[in-house]
Amino acid sequence: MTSELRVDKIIPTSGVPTGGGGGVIQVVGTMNTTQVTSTTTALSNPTNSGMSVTITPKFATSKILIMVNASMRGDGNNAYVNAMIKRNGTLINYSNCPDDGMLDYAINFTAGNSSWNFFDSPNSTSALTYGFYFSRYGGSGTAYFNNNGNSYSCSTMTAMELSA
Amino acid sequence: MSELRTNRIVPRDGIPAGASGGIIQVVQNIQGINQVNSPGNSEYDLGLNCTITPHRSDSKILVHANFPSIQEGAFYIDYYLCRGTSHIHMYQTYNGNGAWTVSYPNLMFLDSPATTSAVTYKMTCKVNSSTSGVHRSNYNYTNSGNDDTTVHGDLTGYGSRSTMILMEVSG
Repeated sequence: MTSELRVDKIIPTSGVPTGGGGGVIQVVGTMNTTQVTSTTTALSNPTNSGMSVTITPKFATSKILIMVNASMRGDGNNAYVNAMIKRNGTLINYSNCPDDGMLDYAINFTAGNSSWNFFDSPNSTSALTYGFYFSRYGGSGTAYFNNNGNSYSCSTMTAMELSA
Repeated sequence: MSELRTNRIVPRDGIPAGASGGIIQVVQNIQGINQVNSPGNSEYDLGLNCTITPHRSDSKILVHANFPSIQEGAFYIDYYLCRGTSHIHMYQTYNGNGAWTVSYPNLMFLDSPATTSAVTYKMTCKVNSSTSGVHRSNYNYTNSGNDDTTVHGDLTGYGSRSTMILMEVSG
């Protein structure tokens, strides 16, 4: 028989590092290949990429490590792309930077996959859905998700609950 | 509530050769305030760093770093992952046509620092050009000719951020 450890919290013996997390309790992830386009420039109402993950933390003290790898492209005349993450429909502040904390992503004509990793402290034990949103910023073209210009591409999103 | 307090997680039958065990702790840093203009032919600190204190000297540190970048000019850029001041990993980008090009370098590296003292990892870069080419990390494209860091990260502006995650993995 294999051995199995069932536990809801993994903490280093000396405690959780300041601002960090302990062990990984659970992991959810998704892969998305659906092309989505956006011409909206309203940051208050960005386009839903359709890529999301849902996780239910075991503890309100847990941190959620969000890992995003998204295929993005803008075309047209200086069509930049902004990307952001919403938690249950609300834009989250994911960093200690003195701003509103969107992903702050700007590209021009270049296709590519970009990655972000960041902690969220949702203070909740309810189901949390993290969704990836984007919009065009400036220019007159289109912002693309999962389309590198010649063929479709792929994006991924992972959420890990870290003990804290 | 069940809580496990431990500094090491390994499979019951041990860790396979070349593999690692469970994750003990995770720390992160986000660097997104300072847009960096890198001088040519000299190594430059991108300002992206993160510190972790391993609980055991046999632990490994999984480093995952993302550092968006933009350059103008046909030249190579060497990105170095450093433990302290030592290069432990390298990533190179190249822009062939010299036009403004955005890139999204990122790397993942499993390090064996063999210490229980605080270890700081950081990213540096070296632009392999002595010409007037431009390279910026945490670029702000719309202000490419004018380093306006005040709009960086602003919802009304553009920008990007670099992130670094460190995970202590049982060795």
